[in-house]
Amino acid sequence: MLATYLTFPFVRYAIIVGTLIALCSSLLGVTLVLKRFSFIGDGLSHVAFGAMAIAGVLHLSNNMLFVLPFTVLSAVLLLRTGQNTRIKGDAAIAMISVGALAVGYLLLSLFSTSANLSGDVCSTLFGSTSILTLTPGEVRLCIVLSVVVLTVFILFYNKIFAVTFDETFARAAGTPTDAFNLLIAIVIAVIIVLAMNLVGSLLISALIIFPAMSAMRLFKSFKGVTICSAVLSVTCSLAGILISILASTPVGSTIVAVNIAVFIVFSILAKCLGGTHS
Amino acid sequence: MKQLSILLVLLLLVSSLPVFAMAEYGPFLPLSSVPGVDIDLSQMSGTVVYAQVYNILMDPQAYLGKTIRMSGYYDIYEDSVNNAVYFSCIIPDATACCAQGIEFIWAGDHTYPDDYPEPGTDVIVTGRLESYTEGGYDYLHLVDSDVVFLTSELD
Repeated sequence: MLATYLTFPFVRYAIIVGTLIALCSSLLGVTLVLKRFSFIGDGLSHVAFGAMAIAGVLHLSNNMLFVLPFTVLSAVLLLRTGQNTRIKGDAAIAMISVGALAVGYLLLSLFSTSANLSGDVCSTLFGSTSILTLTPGEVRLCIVLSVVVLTVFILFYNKIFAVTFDETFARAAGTPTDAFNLLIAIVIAVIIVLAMNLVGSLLISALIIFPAMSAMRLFKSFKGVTICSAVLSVTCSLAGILISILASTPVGSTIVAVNIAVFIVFSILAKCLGGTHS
Repeated sequence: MKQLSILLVLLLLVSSLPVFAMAEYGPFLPLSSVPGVDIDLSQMSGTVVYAQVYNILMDPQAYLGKTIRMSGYYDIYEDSVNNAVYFSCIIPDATACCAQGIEFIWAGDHTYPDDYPEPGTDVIVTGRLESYTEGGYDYLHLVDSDVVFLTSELD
Protein backbone atom coordinates (compact mmCIF):
# COMPACT_ATOMS: atom_id res chain seq x y z
CA MET A 1 0.00 0.00 0.00
CA LEU A 2 2.87 2.36 0.83
CA ALA A 3 4.29 1.87 -2.68
CA THR A 4 0.94 2.99 -4.12
CA TYR A 5 0.85 6.08 -1.92
CA LEU A 6 4.38 6.99 -3.00
CA THR A 7 3.15 7.35 -6.59
CA PHE A 8 0.89 10.25 -5.56
CA PRO A 9 2.45 13.62 -6.46
CA PHE A 10 1.29 15.25 -3.22
CA VAL A 11 2.94 12.50 -1.15
CA ARG A 12 6.21 13.06 -3.06
CA TYR A 13 5.93 16.81 -2.49
CA ALA A 14 5.36 16.20 1.23
CA ILE A 15 8.46 14.00 1.44
CA ILE A 16 10.66 16.52 -0.42
CA VAL A 17 9.45 19.49 1.62
CA GLY A 18 9.41 17.53 4.90
CA THR A 19 13.01 16.40 4.39
CA LEU A 20 14.26 19.89 3.54
CA ILE A 21 12.43 21.57 6.45
CA ALA A 22 13.65 18.93 8.89
CA LEU A 23 17.23 19.35 7.66
CA CYS A 24 17.16 23.15 7.93
CA SER A 25 15.43 23.26 11.31
CA SER A 26 17.78 20.70 12.86
CA LEU A 27 20.92 22.56 11.73
CA LEU A 28 19.77 25.84 13.23
CA GLY A 29 18.24 24.01 16.21
CA VAL A 30 21.68 23.17 17.56
CA THR A 31 22.65 26.83 17.52
CA LEU A 32 19.39 27.94 19.13
CA VAL A 33 19.53 25.34 21.91
CA LEU A 34 23.14 26.22 22.71
CA LYS A 35 22.39 29.97 22.71
CA ARG A 36 19.43 29.37 25.09
CA PHE A 37 17.08 30.61 22.37
CA SER A 38 14.94 27.47 22.18
CA PHE A 39 11.70 29.38 22.59
CA ILE A 40 12.43 31.96 19.89
CA GLY A 41 11.05 29.46 17.38
CA ASP A 42 7.81 29.23 19.32
CA GLY A 43 7.50 33.02 19.54
CA LEU A 44 8.17 33.52 15.84
CA SER A 45 5.75 30.78 14.84
CA HIS A 46 2.99 32.62 16.69
CA VAL A 47 4.02 35.82 14.92
CA ALA A 48 3.74 33.93 11.63
CA PHE A 49 0.23 32.83 12.67
CA GLY A 50 -0.69 36.47 13.30
CA ALA A 51 0.78 37.47 9.94
CA MET A 52 -1.16 34.69 8.22
CA ALA A 53 -4.36 35.98 9.83
CA ILE A 54 -3.67 39.50 8.53
CA ALA A 55 -2.91 38.11 5.06
CA GLY A 56 -6.18 36.17 5.18
CA VAL A 57 -8.17 39.24 6.22
CA LEU A 58 -6.53 41.28 3.42
CA HIS A 59 -7.43 38.47 0.95
CA LEU A 60 -3.85 38.22 -0.32
CA SER A 61 -3.60 35.57 -3.00
CA ASN A 62 -0.13 34.47 -1.85
CA ASN A 63 0.16 34.53 1.95
CA MET A 64 3.88 33.77 1.85
CA LEU A 65 4.72 37.18 0.31
CA PHE A 66 3.37 38.84 3.46
CA VAL A 67 4.07 36.24 6.16
CA LEU A 68 7.76 35.79 5.32
CA PRO A 69 8.88 39.46 5.47
CA PHE A 70 6.65 40.08 8.52
CA THR A 71 8.20 37.17 10.42
CA VAL A 72 11.76 38.13 9.38
CA LEU A 73 11.12 41.69 10.60
CA SER A 74 9.76 40.36 13.91
CA ALA A 75 12.81 38.12 14.33
CA VAL A 76 15.11 41.10 13.85
CA LEU A 77 13.07 43.27 16.25
CA LEU A 78 12.92 40.44 18.80
CA LEU A 79 16.66 40.12 18.76
CA ARG A 80 17.18 43.88 19.01
CA THR A 81 14.56 44.26 21.75
CA GLY A 82 16.14 41.49 23.77
CA GLN A 83 19.54 43.14 23.62
CA ASN A 84 18.89 46.82 24.02
CA THR A 85 15.82 47.46 26.14
CA ARG A 86 14.51 46.78 29.61
CA ILE A 87 12.27 43.99 28.30
CA LYS A 88 14.74 41.12 28.15
CA GLY A 89 14.92 37.83 26.16
CA ASP A 90 12.31 35.43 27.49
CA ALA A 91 9.80 38.14 28.48
CA ALA A 92 9.98 39.75 25.03
CA ILE A 93 9.48 36.39 23.33
CA ALA A 94 6.54 35.53 25.60
CA MET A 95 4.88 38.91 24.99
CA ILE A 96 5.24 38.75 21.22
CA SER A 97 4.22 35.10 21.17
CA VAL A 98 0.90 35.37 22.99
CA GLY A 99 0.24 38.86 21.62
CA ALA A 100 0.51 37.73 18.00
CA LEU A 101 -1.58 34.63 18.68
CA ALA A 102 -4.35 36.64 20.33
CA VAL A 103 -4.38 39.41 17.70
CA GLY A 104 -4.31 36.84 14.90
CA TYR A 105 -7.31 34.97 16.25
CA LEU A 106 -9.14 38.21 17.00
CA LEU A 107 -8.64 39.44 13.41
CA LEU A 108 -9.79 36.12 12.00
CA SER A 109 -12.88 36.12 14.21
CA LEU A 110 -13.80 39.69 13.28
CA PHE A 111 -13.02 39.81 9.58
CA SER A 112 -12.65 36.30 8.19
CA THR A 113 -15.14 35.34 5.50
CA SER A 114 -14.30 31.65 5.76
CA ALA A 115 -17.17 29.25 6.42
CA ASN A 116 -14.94 27.13 8.67
CA LEU A 117 -13.04 29.50 10.97
CA SER A 118 -12.25 26.89 13.64
CA GLY A 119 -10.98 24.56 10.92
CA ASP A 120 -8.71 27.24 9.46
CA VAL A 121 -7.29 28.10 12.88
CA CYS A 122 -6.82 24.44 13.83
CA SER A 123 -5.13 23.73 10.50
CA THR A 124 -2.72 26.64 10.94
CA LEU A 125 -1.91 25.76 14.55
CA PHE A 126 -1.50 21.99 14.14
CA GLY A 127 -0.59 21.66 10.48
CA SER A 128 -3.38 19.21 9.77
CA THR A 129 -2.75 17.82 6.28
CA SER A 130 -1.35 21.05 4.84
CA ILE A 131 1.93 19.31 4.01
CA LEU A 132 -0.09 16.97 1.75
CA THR A 133 -1.93 19.79 0.00
CA LEU A 134 1.07 21.78 -1.27
CA THR A 135 1.07 23.12 -4.80
CA PRO A 136 4.17 22.65 -6.99
CA GLY A 137 4.70 26.43 -6.68
CA GLU A 138 4.90 26.17 -2.88
CA VAL A 139 7.25 23.20 -3.19
CA ARG A 140 9.54 25.19 -5.53
CA LEU A 141 9.61 28.12 -3.09
CA CYS A 142 10.42 25.77 -0.23
CA ILE A 143 13.28 24.16 -2.19
CA VAL A 144 14.79 27.54 -3.09
CA LEU A 145 14.53 28.88 0.48
CA SER A 146 15.91 25.63 1.95
CA VAL A 147 18.91 25.72 -0.38
CA VAL A 148 19.55 29.35 0.63
CA VAL A 149 19.36 28.41 4.33
CA LEU A 150 21.66 25.40 3.90
CA THR A 151 24.14 27.41 1.85
CA VAL A 152 24.24 30.18 4.47
CA PHE A 153 24.80 27.61 7.22
CA ILE A 154 27.61 25.87 5.32
CA LEU A 155 29.36 29.05 4.18
CA PHE A 156 29.27 30.64 7.64
CA TYR A 157 29.60 27.44 9.67
CA ASN A 158 32.79 28.59 11.47
CA LYS A 159 31.39 32.04 12.31
CA ILE A 160 28.06 30.62 13.52
CA PHE A 161 30.05 28.14 15.63
CA ALA A 162 32.10 31.00 17.16
CA VAL A 163 29.05 33.20 17.85
CA THR A 164 27.16 30.27 19.33
CA PHE A 165 29.79 29.16 21.82
CA ASP A 166 31.46 32.38 22.97
CA GLU A 167 29.99 35.56 21.57
CA THR A 168 32.24 37.82 23.67
CA PHE A 169 35.39 36.09 22.46
CA ALA A 170 34.12 36.09 18.88
CA ARG A 171 33.51 39.86 19.10
CA ALA A 172 36.97 40.42 20.58
CA ALA A 173 38.43 38.36 17.73
CA GLY A 174 36.87 40.74 15.20
CA THR A 175 33.79 38.73 14.21
CA PRO A 176 30.81 41.02 13.51
CA THR A 177 28.60 39.23 16.05
CA ASP A 178 25.64 41.59 15.65
CA ALA A 179 25.57 40.91 11.92
CA PHE A 180 25.73 37.16 12.49
CA ASN A 181 23.01 37.27 15.15
CA LEU A 182 20.91 39.15 12.62
CA LEU A 183 21.68 36.53 9.97
CA ILE A 184 20.73 33.73 12.36
CA ALA A 185 17.46 35.52 13.21
CA ILE A 186 16.55 35.91 9.52
CA VAL A 187 17.34 32.27 8.77
CA ILE A 188 15.28 31.15 11.77
CA ALA A 189 12.32 33.21 10.58
CA VAL A 190 12.54 31.63 7.09
CA ILE A 191 12.62 28.14 8.62
CA ILE A 192 9.66 28.91 10.88
CA VAL A 193 7.52 30.05 7.95
CA LEU A 194 8.49 26.95 5.96
CA ALA A 195 7.87 24.61 8.89
CA MET A 196 4.35 25.93 9.46
CA ASN A 197 3.31 23.80 6.50
CA LEU A 198 4.81 20.68 8.02
CA VAL A 199 3.76 20.67 11.65
CA GLY A 200 1.73 23.84 12.20
CA SER A 201 2.74 26.84 14.24
CA LEU A 202 2.26 25.30 17.70
CA LEU A 203 4.57 22.33 17.05
CA ILE A 204 7.47 24.01 15.25
CA SER A 205 9.59 24.27 18.39
CA ALA A 206 9.66 20.47 18.58
CA LEU A 207 11.36 20.27 15.16
CA ILE A 208 14.00 22.71 16.34
CA ILE A 209 14.61 21.39 19.86
CA PHE A 210 14.14 17.61 19.87
CA PRO A 211 16.73 16.53 17.24
CA ALA A 212 19.38 18.78 18.82
CA MET A 213 18.59 17.56 22.35
CA SER A 214 18.59 13.90 21.24
CA ALA A 215 21.95 14.33 19.50
CA MET A 216 23.38 16.02 22.60
CA ARG A 217 22.62 12.88 24.62
CA LEU A 218 25.26 10.97 22.68
CA PHE A 219 27.62 13.53 21.13
CA LYS A 220 29.48 16.50 22.59
CA SER A 221 31.30 18.16 19.66
CA PHE A 222 29.47 20.85 17.67
CA LYS A 223 30.08 18.98 14.41
CA GLY A 224 28.99 15.63 15.87
CA VAL A 225 25.82 17.09 17.37
CA THR A 226 24.99 18.98 14.15
CA ILE A 227 25.42 15.94 11.87
CA CYS A 228 23.55 13.60 14.24
CA SER A 229 20.79 16.18 14.70
CA ALA A 230 20.36 16.53 10.91
CA VAL A 231 20.21 12.76 10.38
CA LEU A 232 17.74 12.28 13.26
CA SER A 233 15.53 15.15 12.16
CA VAL A 234 15.26 13.95 8.55
CA THR A 235 14.67 10.35 9.64
CA CYS A 236 11.98 11.30 12.20
CA SER A 237 10.27 13.60 9.71
CA LEU A 238 10.16 10.92 7.01
CA ALA A 239 8.98 8.28 9.49
CA GLY A 240 6.31 10.66 10.82
CA ILE A 241 4.98 11.47 7.35
CA LEU A 242 4.84 7.81 6.30
CA ILE A 243 3.24 6.67 9.58
CA SER A 244 0.61 9.40 9.36
CA ILE A 245 -0.22 8.41 5.79
CA LEU A 246 -0.53 4.72 6.65
CA ALA A 247 -2.24 5.11 10.04
CA SER A 248 -4.41 8.17 9.19
CA THR A 249 -2.95 10.23 12.02
CA PRO A 250 -2.26 14.00 11.99
CA VAL A 251 1.09 14.60 10.23
CA GLY A 252 2.53 17.24 12.57
CA SER A 253 1.84 15.52 15.86
CA THR A 254 3.00 12.16 14.47
CA ILE A 255 6.37 13.69 13.51
CA VAL A 256 6.70 15.21 16.98
CA ALA A 257 5.73 11.90 18.62
CA VAL A 258 8.49 10.11 16.65
CA ASN A 259 10.96 12.81 17.77
CA ILE A 260 9.93 12.28 21.41
CA ALA A 261 10.39 8.50 21.08
CA VAL A 262 13.88 8.99 19.59
CA PHE A 263 14.78 11.39 22.40
CA ILE A 264 13.77 8.78 25.00
CA VAL A 265 15.76 6.06 23.19
CA PHE A 266 18.84 8.30 22.95
CA SER A 267 18.55 9.25 26.63
CA ILE A 268 18.47 5.57 27.61
CA LEU A 269 21.38 4.84 25.23
CA ALA A 270 23.41 7.67 26.78
CA LYS A 271 22.82 6.25 30.25
CA CYS A 272 23.79 2.73 29.11
CA LEU A 273 26.91 3.95 27.28
CA GLY A 274 27.89 6.12 30.23
CA GLY A 275 27.94 9.58 28.70
CA THR A 276 28.50 11.49 25.50
CA HIS A 277 31.03 10.98 22.72
CA SER A 278 32.93 13.42 20.58
CA MET B 1 33.95 19.07 4.79
CA LYS B 2 32.73 22.32 3.20
CA GLN B 3 33.07 20.95 -0.34
CA LEU B 4 31.18 17.82 0.73
CA SER B 5 28.41 19.91 2.25
CA ILE B 6 28.08 22.09 -0.86
CA LEU B 7 27.96 18.90 -2.94
CA LEU B 8 25.16 17.64 -0.68
CA VAL B 9 23.14 20.83 -1.17
CA LEU B 10 23.64 20.68 -4.94
CA LEU B 11 22.59 17.01 -4.89
CA LEU B 12 19.41 17.94 -3.02
CA LEU B 13 18.69 20.70 -5.52
CA VAL B 14 19.27 18.46 -8.53
CA SER B 15 17.12 15.68 -7.08
CA SER B 16 14.31 18.20 -6.62
CA LEU B 17 14.55 19.59 -10.16
CA PRO B 18 11.62 17.52 -11.56
CA VAL B 19 9.33 19.56 -9.29
CA PHE B 20 10.29 22.73 -11.15
CA ALA B 21 9.05 21.23 -14.41
CA MET B 22 5.65 20.22 -13.04
CA ALA B 23 2.48 22.12 -13.80
CA GLU B 24 0.16 23.22 -11.02
CA TYR B 25 -1.88 20.21 -9.86
CA GLY B 26 -1.14 17.77 -12.66
CA PRO B 27 -3.96 15.35 -13.33
CA PHE B 28 -3.25 12.26 -11.30
CA LEU B 29 -5.63 9.34 -11.32
CA PRO B 30 -4.88 6.65 -8.75
CA LEU B 31 -5.48 3.17 -10.09
CA SER B 32 -8.71 1.51 -9.08
CA SER B 33 -9.29 -2.23 -8.73
CA VAL B 34 -13.08 -1.78 -8.86
CA PRO B 35 -14.51 -2.26 -12.39
CA GLY B 36 -16.03 0.91 -13.82
CA VAL B 37 -14.45 3.12 -11.18
CA ASP B 38 -11.64 5.51 -12.21
CA ILE B 39 -10.71 6.76 -8.73
CA ASP B 40 -11.37 4.59 -5.70
CA LEU B 41 -10.99 6.73 -2.59
CA SER B 42 -12.68 4.20 -0.33
CA GLN B 43 -9.59 1.98 -0.06
CA MET B 44 -7.14 4.74 0.90
CA SER B 45 -6.08 5.96 4.34
CA GLY B 46 -7.99 8.94 5.73
CA THR B 47 -5.00 11.27 5.41
CA VAL B 48 -4.48 10.44 1.73
CA VAL B 49 -8.20 10.63 0.93
CA TYR B 50 -8.42 14.12 2.46
CA ALA B 51 -5.46 15.30 0.37
CA GLN B 52 -6.83 13.66 -2.80
CA VAL B 53 -10.26 15.25 -2.37
CA TYR B 54 -8.54 18.60 -1.81
CA ASN B 55 -6.71 18.12 -5.13
CA ILE B 56 -9.94 17.23 -6.90
CA LEU B 57 -11.65 20.36 -5.56
CA MET B 58 -8.66 22.58 -6.42
CA ASP B 59 -8.24 21.23 -9.95
CA PRO B 60 -11.60 19.73 -10.99
CA GLN B 61 -10.90 19.98 -14.74
CA ALA B 62 -8.53 17.00 -14.50
CA TYR B 63 -11.20 14.86 -12.86
CA LEU B 64 -14.46 15.86 -14.61
CA GLY B 65 -16.24 12.90 -16.19
CA LYS B 66 -14.34 10.39 -14.05
CA THR B 67 -16.20 7.89 -11.91
CA ILE B 68 -15.24 8.34 -8.26
CA ARG B 69 -15.94 5.99 -5.37
CA MET B 70 -15.66 7.50 -1.91
CA SER B 71 -16.61 6.63 1.64
CA GLY B 72 -17.33 9.12 4.40
CA TYR B 73 -20.34 10.27 6.34
CA TYR B 74 -23.55 11.54 4.86
CA ASP B 75 -24.70 15.11 5.47
CA ILE B 76 -27.32 17.47 4.08
CA TYR B 77 -27.65 21.18 3.42
CA GLU B 78 -31.16 22.61 3.30
CA ASP B 79 -31.48 25.81 1.26
CA SER B 80 -34.65 27.40 2.60
CA VAL B 81 -34.51 30.28 0.09
CA ASN B 82 -34.58 28.08 -3.00
CA ASN B 83 -36.40 25.26 -1.21
CA ALA B 84 -33.69 22.77 -2.18
CA VAL B 85 -31.83 20.04 -0.32
CA TYR B 86 -28.26 19.09 -1.15
CA PHE B 87 -26.73 15.73 -0.12
CA SER B 88 -23.01 15.22 0.34
CA CYS B 89 -20.37 12.69 1.36
CA ILE B 90 -18.07 14.32 3.92
CA ILE B 91 -14.47 13.32 4.68
CA PRO B 92 -12.86 14.72 7.84
CA ASP B 93 -9.10 15.21 8.15
CA ALA B 94 -6.93 13.45 10.72
CA THR B 95 -7.24 16.26 13.27
CA ALA B 96 -11.03 16.15 12.81
CA CYS B 97 -11.15 19.95 12.72
CA CYS B 98 -11.45 20.22 8.94
CA ALA B 99 -13.73 18.38 6.59
CA GLN B 100 -14.27 18.33 2.84
CA GLY B 101 -17.08 16.81 0.90
CA ILE B 102 -18.53 16.25 -2.52
CA GLU B 103 -22.22 16.66 -3.24
CA PHE B 104 -23.97 13.67 -4.80
CA ILE B 105 -27.20 12.98 -6.63
CA TRP B 106 -28.60 9.52 -5.89
CA ALA B 107 -29.62 7.68 -9.06
CA GLY B 108 -33.23 6.48 -9.22
CA ASP B 109 -36.38 7.64 -7.50
CA HIS B 110 -35.66 8.53 -3.90
CA THR B 111 -37.67 10.85 -1.73
CA TYR B 112 -36.26 13.05 1.00
CA PRO B 113 -36.53 12.48 3.93
CA ASP B 114 -38.25 9.07 3.65
CA ASP B 115 -35.44 7.26 1.79
CA TYR B 116 -32.55 8.97 3.53
CA PRO B 117 -31.10 8.13 6.96
CA GLU B 118 -30.02 10.55 9.68
CA PRO B 119 -27.11 12.87 8.78
CA GLY B 120 -23.84 11.45 10.09
CA THR B 121 -24.54 7.96 8.76
CA ASP B 122 -21.56 6.29 7.08
CA VAL B 123 -21.97 6.14 3.33
CA ILE B 124 -20.21 4.85 0.21
CA VAL B 125 -20.95 6.87 -2.94
CA THR B 126 -19.96 5.94 -6.48
CA GLY B 127 -20.73 8.52 -9.14
CA ARG B 128 -19.49 10.55 -12.11
CA LEU B 129 -17.96 13.94 -11.32
CA GLU B 130 -19.68 16.83 -13.07
CA SER B 131 -19.75 20.58 -12.55
CA TYR B 132 -22.74 22.92 -12.52
CA THR B 133 -23.31 26.63 -12.07
CA GLU B 134 -25.81 28.05 -9.61
CA GLY B 135 -26.18 31.64 -8.46
CA GLY B 136 -23.09 32.61 -10.44
CA TYR B 137 -20.86 30.07 -8.69
CA ASP B 138 -19.42 26.81 -10.01
CA TYR B 139 -20.01 23.66 -7.97
CA LEU B 140 -19.06 20.00 -8.27
CA HIS B 141 -21.24 16.97 -7.70
CA LEU B 142 -21.32 13.25 -8.35
CA VAL B 143 -24.20 12.39 -10.68
CA ASP B 144 -25.92 9.03 -11.34
CA SER B 145 -24.58 7.98 -7.97
CA ASP B 146 -24.87 4.55 -6.47
CA VAL B 147 -25.31 5.22 -2.74
CA VAL B 148 -24.91 2.68 0.05
CA PHE B 149 -25.74 3.83 3.60
CA LEU B 150 -23.76 1.50 5.84
CA THR B 151 -25.56 1.66 9.18
CA SER B 152 -29.01 1.58 7.59
CA GLU B 153 -27.99 -1.72 6.00
CA LEU B 154 -27.00 -3.08 9.39
CA ASP B 155 -30.23 -1.86 10.95
